[in-house]
Amino acid sequence: MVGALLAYARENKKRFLLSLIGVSIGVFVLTLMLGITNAMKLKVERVIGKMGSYVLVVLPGEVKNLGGRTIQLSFYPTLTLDDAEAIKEKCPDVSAVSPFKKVSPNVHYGGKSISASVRGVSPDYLKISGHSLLCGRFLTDSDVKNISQVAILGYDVARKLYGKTCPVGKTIYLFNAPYRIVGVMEKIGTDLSGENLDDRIYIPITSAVKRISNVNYIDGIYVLPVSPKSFKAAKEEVYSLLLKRHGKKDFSVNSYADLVNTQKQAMEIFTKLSIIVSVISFGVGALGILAVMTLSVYERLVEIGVRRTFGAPRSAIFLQFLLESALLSLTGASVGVVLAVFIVFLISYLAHWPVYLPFKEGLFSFLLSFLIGLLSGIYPAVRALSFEPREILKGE
Amino acid sequence: MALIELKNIRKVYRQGDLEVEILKGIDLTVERGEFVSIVGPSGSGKSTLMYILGCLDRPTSGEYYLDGKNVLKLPDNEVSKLRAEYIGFVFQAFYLIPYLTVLDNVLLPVSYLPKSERKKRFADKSPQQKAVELLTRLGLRERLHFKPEELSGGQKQRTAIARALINSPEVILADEPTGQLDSESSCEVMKIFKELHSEGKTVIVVTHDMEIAKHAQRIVKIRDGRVVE
Repeated sequence: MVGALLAYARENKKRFLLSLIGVSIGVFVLTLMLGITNAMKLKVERVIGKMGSYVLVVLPGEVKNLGGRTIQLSFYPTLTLDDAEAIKEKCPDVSAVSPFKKVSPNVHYGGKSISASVRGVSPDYLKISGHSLLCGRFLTDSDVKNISQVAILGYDVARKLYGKTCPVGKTIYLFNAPYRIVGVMEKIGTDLSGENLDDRIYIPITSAVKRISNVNYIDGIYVLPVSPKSFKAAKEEVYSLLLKRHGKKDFSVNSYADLVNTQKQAMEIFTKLSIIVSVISFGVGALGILAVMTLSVYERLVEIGVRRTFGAPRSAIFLQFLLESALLSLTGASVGVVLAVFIVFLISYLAHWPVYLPFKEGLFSFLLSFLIGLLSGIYPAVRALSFEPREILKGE
Repeated sequence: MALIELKNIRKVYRQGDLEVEILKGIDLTVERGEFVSIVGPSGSGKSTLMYILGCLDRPTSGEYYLDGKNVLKLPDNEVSKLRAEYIGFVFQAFYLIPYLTVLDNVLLPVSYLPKSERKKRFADKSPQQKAVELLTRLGLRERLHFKPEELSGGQKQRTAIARALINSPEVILADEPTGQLDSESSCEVMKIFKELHSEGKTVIVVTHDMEIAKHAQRIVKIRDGRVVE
């Protein structure tokens, strides 16, 4: 039966190819978008998971979600290291606090300038972020207190400069000031915005604020509540404390997960759009199969008549045309799935997402296309039954 | 018991308000191993009779026993099985499937033989072996993998005969088998039917050509829906 279809398909290559393309595109789009969405979800989960789903971020200004993007609407140079200090001391539901500030000094090593993003943080950052060290140590309280010139390198920075050896004890230069390397972070990957977290250099927050940028405000404060349960209490404590200290609401207390999850909205729009596209292409594919199979019924009337005269019951003819449609659909689907799995893999690789092969999504689209093939085969199959052999095979 | 027994078969076609009686009470008995030709001019009802004989059409009234089975009482499915088991058809226009090779065309009926029968009939030889054997015997050994369009008329009809024989049916039912063949090929085809008959097969040839009909052991003449001789 399959052989017969193959033989027939070989005779009508172009027509079959055309009907396959519709299903191929449908399966391709469906697998691709499900794959990308799930690959992104996986990434979001990993990032939130590492950072702790209940971490708070204090930002100096208003933050709004607009069209799936986090936008800082205003900025006040009023958030200081003292605020971070106060939160740690006065909020009972807070277990760790790390102020952060991004600075952009020239970074030199061995006379060469290198690109790296430099961040001032406090010792608690390690606990809050959930990352760990490859070698050496992280910042200590005395580093912060003494405004020490020490640095912890991100994985990629260390790799670039020193290869596989642990560079603890070596020196790099920030604005020509020597910083002693005390540790190297493990490999982390990129965050959701695509920033490479392994391309960072961590220095004491005090060094970033006082030595490098010479201002007294910071970019924000990470706050880790005692437990997920105390998330709400911690948020309120931080809020009222800062309100009291600043006298007005020139800051916002955000959930890290919320800041990250805004990407989900963008993803959902993308998902909806892709579903529409794949439904349309599946529809086109189904119509293509319907047309090709109906045409083939009329072209193969003699075959139907001959099969019936040689004892094929109606059910066998019905099944034959139904299965041929399904097979046609599946052939198209295979092409689409293979292509989509490959592209999702490629995208997640290039975007430094966790490697993701959308087999589950592929299987789902595959089954869907089988179903659609069966459905679009019903009409041709019924048509094939409407002819009696004696009508078809009337002597010429 | 006769292999085929038709009793008082009538067939009426309705064309609008008009009722046309094609067969007006046919009685026909064919014994096992007979070579019968059914002859009549066009419009005599012989084609209708052949479709009824081949279980492809049902008469308006009458009785039909095939190997003792009351065909007209059986449901459609069972009738399909009967066709697969008992009858090998040969048509005027060959009706080979254009995109299948000669070998695959011959093998086509095998899948429609009920499983138990298939086991019995292909106990010593696989369908492939048997198809090659039949085609070799019919002089088509070199044409196994040809497509029908590459064959001459005579070769096409011999392929069709091999197809009719693959399931080892009791009856070969041929509808104007020489209608599209030159006289040489016609002779060949009729020679094959005679051979099959001598081997014990029941052969029924429906034709308008008296010359062809003469090859048979018995001639049944039909005119205006009745057996006249």
